[in-house]
Amino acid sequence: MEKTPSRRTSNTIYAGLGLVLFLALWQWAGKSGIGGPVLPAVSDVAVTLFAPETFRLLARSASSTLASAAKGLLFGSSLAVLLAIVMRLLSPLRPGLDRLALMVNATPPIALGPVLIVVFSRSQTPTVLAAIQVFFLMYVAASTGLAGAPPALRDVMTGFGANSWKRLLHLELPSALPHLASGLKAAVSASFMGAILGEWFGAPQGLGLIILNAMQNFQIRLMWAAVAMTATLSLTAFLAAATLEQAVSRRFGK
Amino acid sequence: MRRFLAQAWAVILLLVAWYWWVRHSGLNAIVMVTPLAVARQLIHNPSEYLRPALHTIEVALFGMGGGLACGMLLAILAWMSRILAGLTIPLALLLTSVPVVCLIPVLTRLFGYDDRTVFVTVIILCFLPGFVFATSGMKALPPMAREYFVVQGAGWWNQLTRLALPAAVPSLAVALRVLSVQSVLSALVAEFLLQTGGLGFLIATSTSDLDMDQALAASVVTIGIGLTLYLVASLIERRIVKYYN
Repeated sequence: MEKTPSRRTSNTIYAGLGLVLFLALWQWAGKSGIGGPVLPAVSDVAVTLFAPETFRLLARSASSTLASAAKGLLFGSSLAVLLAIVMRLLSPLRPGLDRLALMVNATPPIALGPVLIVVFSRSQTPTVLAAIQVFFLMYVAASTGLAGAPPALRDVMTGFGANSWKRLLHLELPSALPHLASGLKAAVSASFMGAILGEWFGAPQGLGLIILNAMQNFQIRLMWAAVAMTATLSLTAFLAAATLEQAVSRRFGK
Repeated sequence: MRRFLAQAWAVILLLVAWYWWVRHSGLNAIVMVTPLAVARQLIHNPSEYLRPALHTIEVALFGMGGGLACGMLLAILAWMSRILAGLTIPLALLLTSVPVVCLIPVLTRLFGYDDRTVFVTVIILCFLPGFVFATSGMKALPPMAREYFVVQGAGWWNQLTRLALPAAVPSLAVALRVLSVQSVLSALVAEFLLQTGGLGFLIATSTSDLDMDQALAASVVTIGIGLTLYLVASLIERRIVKYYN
């Protein structure tokens, strides 16, 4: 269903109102003390967040978390796309790898953490955990995307003598791009989850570490400031991925 | 046999690689154990995992039910009012992009160190997918169905209960499948952090006791639970889709 411009504008206005309402409710809840001392008002959180000292700390941690998440996203999705392509070319092997991917997806990250510390290192665990979280989503997106090219076009290419490699390059990969872009949108948030969880297992720095330490030491405002920072980063990354998805589906979508 | 190999080659390869790696890396058994040790642990003390497993399943299922119900409630409200639907956009965006697992420390401070927090974690995880899938189902009506209801003079209550809600059921079944594995894993992370009980707690204690057999056996049980729930949810989904067509 195509939305008319006026409808989109009114939705934007409502969304803006919703944001203001959300912040106002938070402010009221914090100031009235309804949530107790653990729920500070949004203005207090902002003051803590932008205090020079905490901001420096949070910015440093954020860049480390962001680096882990981005590297995890890159490695996880490259491996996923690569394996999906290999499985496309060697299709009898595909059911086995699908099973493995499902199993990896059902493996608790908290059990992987201690193992990854041994196999890799404490500082690399966030990246690897992020890559593992991303892998499943991108593998599913890539394999459904590659299988989703119109059969008629495939038959035409085969009829003109194209081998499976040519079909992959000129038909299946381009038609998989919209799926990959939607997968990426989900994977962005998964990569943050993996990075932050991975930091709980003794990474030297990162937002996950700050959130957890602040929780345990009852530094309530610092905890909320770190969460606000995390939310801002993941929301920005998500919106960027959503924009990319729209652009890709305009160019390559049906 | 061939079919089995086609399905299982990758898992078998992984187990063999794991075994070979533990044997040849020269690591102490305290740090890393072989798959055989994990299997032995599971076969000899199955009862140790039963109670924590039941606890985790209970929290995950009730949380999923609660979250989907809340999501559906909001979907109904948004169905009735476009303004309300617009107002929820920022919250929906926030919950889509921020991983719920990162919020567990905050939830712990808000709801305390007990099972309630685990429960709330799963509810929040399932809330938005419940809302999104219910909304898309309520919008995917047969052509002209809504117009037909209006022409027949059906009020909003009849439109809701006889048209929109039944149309939402197949989408909710999809949500159930999508969330099955995630609910178990999120409950596990919360249990791990809060140390209240369940498989997450078992993994936390056995990791800190350096009992890797037990920690990995508990993870295998978790994988089993997650995949079983996924399978059951897929069956339910297939049934419902078949019934609707």
